[in-house]
Amino acid sequence: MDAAVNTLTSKAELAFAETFERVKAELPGAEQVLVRELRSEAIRAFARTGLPNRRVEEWKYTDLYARLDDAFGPLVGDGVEVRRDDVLGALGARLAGLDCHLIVLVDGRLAPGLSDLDFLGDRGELLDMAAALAAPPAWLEARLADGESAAQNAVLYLNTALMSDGVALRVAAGASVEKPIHIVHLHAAKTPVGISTRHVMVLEKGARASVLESHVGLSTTPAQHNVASDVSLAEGAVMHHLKIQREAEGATHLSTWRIALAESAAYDAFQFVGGSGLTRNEIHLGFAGENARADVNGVFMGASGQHIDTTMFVDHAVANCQSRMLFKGVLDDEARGVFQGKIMVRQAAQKTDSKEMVQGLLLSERAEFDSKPELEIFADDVVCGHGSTSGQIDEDLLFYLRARGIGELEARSILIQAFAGEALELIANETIREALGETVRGWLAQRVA
Amino acid sequence: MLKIENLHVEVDGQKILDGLDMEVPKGEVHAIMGPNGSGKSTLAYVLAGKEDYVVTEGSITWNGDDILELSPDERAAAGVFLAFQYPVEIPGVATMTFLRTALNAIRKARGQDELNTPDFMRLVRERAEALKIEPDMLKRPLNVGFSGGEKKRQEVLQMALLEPSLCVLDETDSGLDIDALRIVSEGVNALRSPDRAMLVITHYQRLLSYIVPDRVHVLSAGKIVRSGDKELALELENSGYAEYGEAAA
Repeated sequence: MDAAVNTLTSKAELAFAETFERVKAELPGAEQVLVRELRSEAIRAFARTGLPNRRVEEWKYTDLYARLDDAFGPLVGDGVEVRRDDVLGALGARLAGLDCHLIVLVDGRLAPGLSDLDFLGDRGELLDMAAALAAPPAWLEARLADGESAAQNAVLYLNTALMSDGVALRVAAGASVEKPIHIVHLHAAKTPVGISTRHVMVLEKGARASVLESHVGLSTTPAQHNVASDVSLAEGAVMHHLKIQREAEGATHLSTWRIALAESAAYDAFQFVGGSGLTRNEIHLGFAGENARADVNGVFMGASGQHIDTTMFVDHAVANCQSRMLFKGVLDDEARGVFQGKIMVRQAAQKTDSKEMVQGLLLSERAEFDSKPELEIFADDVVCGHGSTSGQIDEDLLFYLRARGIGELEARSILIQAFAGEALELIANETIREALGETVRGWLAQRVA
Repeated sequence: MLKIENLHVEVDGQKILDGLDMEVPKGEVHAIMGPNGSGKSTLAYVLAGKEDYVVTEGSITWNGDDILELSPDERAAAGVFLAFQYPVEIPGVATMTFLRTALNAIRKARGQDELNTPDFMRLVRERAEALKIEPDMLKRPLNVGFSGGEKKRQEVLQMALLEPSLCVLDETDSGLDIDALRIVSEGVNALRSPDRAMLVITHYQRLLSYIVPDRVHVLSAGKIVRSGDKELALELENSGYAEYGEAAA
């Protein structure tokens, strides 16, 4: 590697660089020119930037440099043997009962025996990313090589350099996948592990699909997850995209979603965070064609010392598009929630209609919620709004419920559920909505009671 | 019997009730009238147990039990019900779920079994119909988007379901048109019973033409300054509250 520009200093930064040198020959696609180039370019870029610290504006509240004290390498050897029942058990009964096409990655490796990879037939392609990187089809190569993203930061550099597996999905023009494609990211390793996963999802013209990414664990040993999903929707494509994050507290979860929407595309997303000690979920939404619409909502729940950061960049580059964001956070103990939502409306993006709302509910005086909505508007005929609130349970509502005979703990629980419920009810899939409702109740049963 | 003796209450360090005495025997309906700021709503909140309403002196007993020792939910279980002047909207809480949770909490506290779903549905439907509450209203989140009249009917519906023994109605007539006032009053009158005491708080005599009280009390500057029968309400309607500290409009 290029020592001249190496600015890496911390233990974690150096460990990332060393890990790359150690494993690069075994990473998938090592023989493939494009992939090899992408990886070495990415690690060079990482060497220039290092991990972002709080002096980098977008990382003001989440100082990755300070927070990552080490970097773990990818899984070596055979790994833990996982049966289907283990996967279903980790998901919980409700989610396990979801009528879906199941794809399972265990510690970052796609497990063919646990996964349904053949359901698409002539409706498109669904590839094991590790294999696809060695010989990427043209559509995948185009996505991998597309560097035009605002998401070029250290987290994504590391993901590109170290990506080991994932799912490459192409839904053919006009095709429709009715059942959700459920990608389970299962952490089972008994030793600390670093997992870099890359998904690429391409929906061609008029295609429809629903994808759920769930992150669950059988193991409580420390793990570092770096997962990136690159989504592109062609004209008139429709996608539901959900994420459920319920890893153990020893996990660090860094995630980047990058979504490109062509004309009249419709994208509807939900992110639920109820796990991991440290979470940074970035969502980059780019409108590239008119009359497209995106709804991105979420709920995050943190306790003890959890740190949950959701950072959105919405780029309205063209006219007549609509975006809606609603995020709700419940924070107890010393948990800290961060929401940054930047909406950029470029000069050409007339008639943009964008609304962003984020609300934090603090259950403890030590909990903290930092919210930074940002609007940058260069067009003059737009409707844009953002709102942010942070507060405790409304005493008047609590009194009303108690005056009807409902005990204090139950009344609190009802109000917290109602708070989260306003966002949860935006999930179209009933099973997923109910599963998350149950997760929220379970979380509350541990906290409030 | 509701017995209030020498009740002194402060809110934010400010004295609102200043030695209030009154008794409401079972089976009777008493009205409390008075100018704005005389302490009417404070009395309602103190009876229901709202925090920040500090009782500095005096006592309140219901059927001989000191209710000041009880939390709001314990008071509800003991039979106290406040129909709020401004019922809160609770987005995300389905009306039916709320009604069922409240009813079962109170039944449980009273040592009764929880109602099963069909029985519960039947009960709500029956009580809602009497109050001309559309089934559609019950499907919405609690009070969200309800009109003033709908909110008040919802309060009376809750009262009819929870079957309290002490009903406190705080300005239940405010914001009601004449039709809604009649429906709500009929709902309240249907609940009059020998085992139940009612305290009807109102600024105007109008409501008392529909819910005819056994006694009328005038509250002024935190005290009952006059008591009489239902004719007192009519007299106040004509003379106004000028002599009780409120300037004529």
